[in-house]
Amino acid sequence: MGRIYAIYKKELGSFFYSSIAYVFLVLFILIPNIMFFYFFGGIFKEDLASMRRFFMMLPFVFIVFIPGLTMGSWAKEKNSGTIELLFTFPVSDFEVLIGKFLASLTIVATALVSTLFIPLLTHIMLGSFDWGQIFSQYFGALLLACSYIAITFFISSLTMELIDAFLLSASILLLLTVIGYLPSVTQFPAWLDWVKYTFINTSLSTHFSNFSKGVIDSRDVLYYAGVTLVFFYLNLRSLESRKWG
Amino acid sequence: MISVKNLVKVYDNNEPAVKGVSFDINKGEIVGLLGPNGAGKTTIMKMITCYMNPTGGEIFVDGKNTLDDQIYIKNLIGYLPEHTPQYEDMTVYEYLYFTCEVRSIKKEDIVPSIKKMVKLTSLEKVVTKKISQLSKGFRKRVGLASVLIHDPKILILDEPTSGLDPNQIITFRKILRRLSEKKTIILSTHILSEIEAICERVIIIKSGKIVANDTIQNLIAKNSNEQYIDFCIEASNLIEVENALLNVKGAWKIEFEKKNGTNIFKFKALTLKDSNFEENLRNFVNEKNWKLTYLEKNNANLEEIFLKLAGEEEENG
Repeated sequence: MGRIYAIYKKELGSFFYSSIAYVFLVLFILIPNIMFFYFFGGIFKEDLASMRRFFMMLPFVFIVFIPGLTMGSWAKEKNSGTIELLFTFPVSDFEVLIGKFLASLTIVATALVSTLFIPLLTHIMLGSFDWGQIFSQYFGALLLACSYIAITFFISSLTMELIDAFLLSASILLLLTVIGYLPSVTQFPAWLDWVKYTFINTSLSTHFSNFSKGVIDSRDVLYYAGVTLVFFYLNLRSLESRKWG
Repeated sequence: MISVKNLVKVYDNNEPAVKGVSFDINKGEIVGLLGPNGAGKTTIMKMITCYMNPTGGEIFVDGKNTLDDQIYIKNLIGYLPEHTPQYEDMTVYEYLYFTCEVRSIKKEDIVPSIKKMVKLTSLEKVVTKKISQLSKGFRKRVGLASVLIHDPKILILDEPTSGLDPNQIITFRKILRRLSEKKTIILSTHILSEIEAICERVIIIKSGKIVANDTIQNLIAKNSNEQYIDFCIEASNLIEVENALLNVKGAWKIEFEKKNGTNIFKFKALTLKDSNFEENLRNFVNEKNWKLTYLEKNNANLEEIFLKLAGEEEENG
């Protein structure tokens, strides 16, 4: 546990040393606010004390933010040669992965917490929020972030350049997000129903829509947990490949 | 302490980088790993440190197999990779603190350990500086401090003095000599004087195979029936001389060294002591109407033994 904590602290520190954390947090506070108050007329036009619109957009916001945060997780270590250092310390690949993952998740969680002042302020000044829905939305957002981080970590482990890791991660996340919307904008013939349902069920965004409506469905929780674990496994296999390469 | 048995490493189905290497290193021994670039030294060290797994064969460190007890083995070893990679955005203190934490050093022992290492490696002036601001010499010292901080039983140092200036090399060697009293050390270097100054035994590797594994004294004694003859020939054309020298019998190898003056070319020949190379050379030079301006015989030293055994190697990793 102490070794995971040491890796966690180092990673968290590196986010702040390199200013990534500051940029991430500032943009994350600004963008949701602009979206909440101004996009499509903002909260005032909708006249509804809800953050649903913000959370509906969150899978797309994460497509840029999370690869930006995690692109260096392995690519930077490989590029600078510190991966050799890291894996000759008495730590297992799993411990390093968990330490790094928790550090990225901490930054995302802090950014999400920083948006909490929107419902708090609105609650005080304008009207009461449905706090059950708010809990579901933030809980779902954390699960969504776990999946995104796990996917982008895996992609970072395959590359040596930060820009490659970023572009590849963002492209894959975009693909996994938009396929969920395809069935609603495209007519699928009946014999391609299986493709339609595959798109809906594998998309990272469709499983989030229930959370953004305030519904916690165990299938959605299992889906995000599953995606996270599958990409953890792939990441560990990718790290292990260095030993046999 | 370290036992390597029939070690093989193949990268991505290419030509094996290590081909059936076996050696033992006893507790407290200081062994130099010598070889040209691409010989497989770094690959062997990476496998001993558990960074990579062997494709074939086995490595035992303190009786434990590197495939089975990696955390135990990593705890025993302090490994300094060739390019001394470090987390450059950290200060020296932060980096050493991180190293202590990740090596599970007790919290109350961390600060005393850092102080001890800072003193040993003379890092007092830079301890609060970011690693990115340090010179290469200081970075090497930070690297050494970080690999020593958990008091490892085994030190594995890959080209520890590469890129250092002469003053820094002297300081580094002093530190190594001090450490050599207590630890098992594997030192890979291109600098033969370093091996002669520090190591008790040398393992010479060429193309992934061991070509010599002995004490320096034994290696020199075994190769003492050989000698190097340095000679200078005055002639008009170097290529003509080089081609012609191929016909002089009695030497294994003749190499052009440098041009001394306008038309004087210096060569080095490796011969047996009882060969008649000198006589053949003198006759040949007379036949060609060239002039032999200089000739000196030398017994083989470690450098020459290395050249003979390891020779030139293609740089292919």
